[in-house]
Amino acid sequence: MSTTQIPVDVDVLRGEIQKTYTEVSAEQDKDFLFPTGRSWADDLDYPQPELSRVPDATVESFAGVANPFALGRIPRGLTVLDLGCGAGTDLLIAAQMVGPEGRVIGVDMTPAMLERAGRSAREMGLDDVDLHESLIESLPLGDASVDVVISNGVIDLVPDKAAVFSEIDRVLRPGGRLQVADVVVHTEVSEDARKRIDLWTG
Amino acid sequence: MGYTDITQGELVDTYARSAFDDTRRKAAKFGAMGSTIAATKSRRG
Repeated sequence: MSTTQIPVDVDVLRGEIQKTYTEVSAEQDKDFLFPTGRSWADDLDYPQPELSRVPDATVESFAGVANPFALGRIPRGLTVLDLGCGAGTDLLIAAQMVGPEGRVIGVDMTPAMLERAGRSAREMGLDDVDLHESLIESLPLGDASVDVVISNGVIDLVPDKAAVFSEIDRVLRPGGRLQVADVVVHTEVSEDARKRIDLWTG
Repeated sequence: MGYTDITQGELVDTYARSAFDDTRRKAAKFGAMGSTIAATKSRRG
């Protein structure tokens, strides 16, 4: 069990995050506090041709903060877990990289995003895509069950990061790889700022 | 449990792309940027 001090009401924060990302899923033309959509993924040099094959229904809800594939493609045949897979852009790119002999697993707490990821996977004819509605602090997966963990702009949204990294370590097999994109800050965040929900979600 | 081959990628000025002045200002205040990191879990468990 984690002993991390949580500076915000976690249930309120999760509610705000679900509200925001449901909007990202449903209102793709809207301006959000963060960049979204295919043009943003293109600007981040997302891998081609994999990105071009992912339906707009998914990519226009892309809300990543950087490009985790910039650190290397995922080899064929591996099992990949995407923490906070959202509408599925990174997940469905990973699915193409690992091929039919591999497997991808997406975990997200926002049903609207998972529904969109599942629909796009079916549209692409990708059968080996497992989707789970779950918190990433408590993964519905066995020990040492995945080869690669990816994530993009999600761990920063979770107050109890120690719990997230404990779960990553539990499900990742020895020799497995963690390959994530997330937010870094270069200035110490004050205690008052840590209590502000708007700074967590924005 | 150890991790090796830890690599951090380039910084990305993600929030400079925000449509909202306030978000750009807050991101600049905290130096908030996108980045990537990779690491390999020890085979020894």
